[in-house]
Amino acid sequence: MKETSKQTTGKYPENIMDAYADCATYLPSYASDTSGVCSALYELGGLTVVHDASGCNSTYSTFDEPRWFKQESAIVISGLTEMDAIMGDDQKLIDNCIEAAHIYSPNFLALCSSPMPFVIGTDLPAIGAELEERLGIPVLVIPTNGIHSYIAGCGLAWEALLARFCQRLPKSPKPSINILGASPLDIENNTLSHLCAWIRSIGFQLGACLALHTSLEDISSLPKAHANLVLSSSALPAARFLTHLCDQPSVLGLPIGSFAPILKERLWEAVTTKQSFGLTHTGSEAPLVIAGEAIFCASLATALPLPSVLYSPLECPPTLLLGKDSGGVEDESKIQSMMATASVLMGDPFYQVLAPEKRLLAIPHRAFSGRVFAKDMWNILDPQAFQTRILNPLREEIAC
Amino acid sequence: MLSLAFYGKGGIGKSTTCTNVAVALARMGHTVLHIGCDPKADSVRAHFHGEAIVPLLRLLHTNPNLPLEEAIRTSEEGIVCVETGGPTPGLGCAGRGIGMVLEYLARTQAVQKLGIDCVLYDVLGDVVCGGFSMPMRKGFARHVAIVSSGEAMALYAMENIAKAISNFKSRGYASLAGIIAIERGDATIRPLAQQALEAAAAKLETPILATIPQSPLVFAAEGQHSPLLTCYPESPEAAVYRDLAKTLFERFGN
Repeated sequence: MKETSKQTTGKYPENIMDAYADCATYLPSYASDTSGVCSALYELGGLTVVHDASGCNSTYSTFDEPRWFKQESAIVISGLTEMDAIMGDDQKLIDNCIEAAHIYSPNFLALCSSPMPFVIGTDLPAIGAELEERLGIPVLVIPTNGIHSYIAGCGLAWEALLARFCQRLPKSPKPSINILGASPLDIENNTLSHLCAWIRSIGFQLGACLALHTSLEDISSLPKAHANLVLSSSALPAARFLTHLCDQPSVLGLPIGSFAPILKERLWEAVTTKQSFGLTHTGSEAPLVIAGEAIFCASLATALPLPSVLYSPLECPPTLLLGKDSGGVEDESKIQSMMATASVLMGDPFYQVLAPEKRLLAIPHRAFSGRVFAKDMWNILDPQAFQTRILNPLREEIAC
Repeated sequence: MLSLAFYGKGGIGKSTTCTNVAVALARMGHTVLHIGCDPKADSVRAHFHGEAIVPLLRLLHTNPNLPLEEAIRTSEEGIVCVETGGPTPGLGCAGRGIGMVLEYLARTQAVQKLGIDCVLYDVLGDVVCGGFSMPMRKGFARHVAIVSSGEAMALYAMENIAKAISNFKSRGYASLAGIIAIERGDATIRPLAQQALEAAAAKLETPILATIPQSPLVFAAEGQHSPLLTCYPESPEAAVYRDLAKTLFERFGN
């Protein structure tokens, strides 16, 4: 680690880097779990209350949410003060939620927590139950704590949502596929449109989308579909829920490049046999390092002509990234040591700082770099763009 | 300047000791600030004939810009009193509440403005989180007196508190002044308990500053909701508290 740090940064003396081992010294953190909750529920007509200090909403609205200035959604911060936390003034939260609910008339209320209430043990389930009784609308209590990433937040929010609004339904007459895990934190509009078109092009009807360009009514219709296409680890709890509820199989992956035909076959098999298909990648000492969300990374790796090693600091299933891959652990030194033997890095441009001398093929990720590279976002499902931005540069590297 | 925190097992007699030491110091001519650092807010009651004063946290909850003169209450003996108080049991964060009150007193320069030369912190029994170690942190109490009997649980608490003080030595926290022994039990048990306490103090290499006798007068004074020094000023027990106050100021009042 020491040597790698020296090679890649050359900025600090060795002893300083030792002190920062296992810490994030260069990279920002991914969007938090509370941002994940807000993003997951944005379009569904609910009132999302983040029980946190005022000001924490600006990180979400400024960096994590591209819809903030274009599309209305009732997302509020409780404005928790130090004194409210010390005195355990739950009543203030309850009164403010009721007042906000009267203003916005939401379909449901979602209440999620942040570090301060988490540490002092605020009983949100009890507060949620009281609110539900007084408001007469469903109240989802999302047990976030502000410490985990958006993957956990989206996952918890969607799981709570489905548990409340989905029930077993007769299947659609034609084979149909739901999209699970669509949030602007992971996927841009163009990419999603392309994905919808791809699903139709391989002979399926499009089911519901969790949860972009959608409604609460659409969400309730999720059990009608024959299978789910899971785009992000954030949707795995929802996928598991649907399997338990109505034996609905799931297929993990994004139809990137040559992985698309494989995914097509898996989707048809899932619909026919009700068998789910996970995703596994076994990393090796490789010329390519891919960093980002695990399902995205593994899908991309499958579509490349060279072996790769994957780095995902986000929550992901233990079976997804194996071998020399790194999943679920935020550790700059780990990706630095991966980069030491690699020649090309793929991922958000922020990762470049860890290996300034290596070539980076940029795939901006909003959950990581917010709006910083928003104008550079591109549709990786577009075969031509994939060819130009990924495959051609790789060929150049192989030629070298 | 004496700046001392009383720590020890819950129910051992910290508030009784702190109250009587406060009265003794006041009668010696000192200006005393008695801070009850317990969400129960029952430390300074005896200074006001059993009347509970409004906890400072509750006042700050209503008015974050509370002026200092409205934050304190002065007893007949001239002792300036503050109760931190805390949230309803089972809610909020009492530890951080203590921190907030101590920060308020520092911010408003209570000690300087009121001409205080003795600050006594009466801290609740269980140091369960960082907030309860606040009084022993740099800038607050300079010394800690542990109030203990020779019973096993009291000794256990004493050792834990001493360990905390020792652990935080490098941070410039308060140092251990010694032990205030509380006699407990019948005539057969008392000598054994005292022996155990002395052995524990020796192990910690700290002195026993005073031994508060087990006396019906202590309970009688409590029944009258007043300090023993007020109810029975001529009693031998009152003399013990006076001696303790004198010892504390002489040894640690610099």
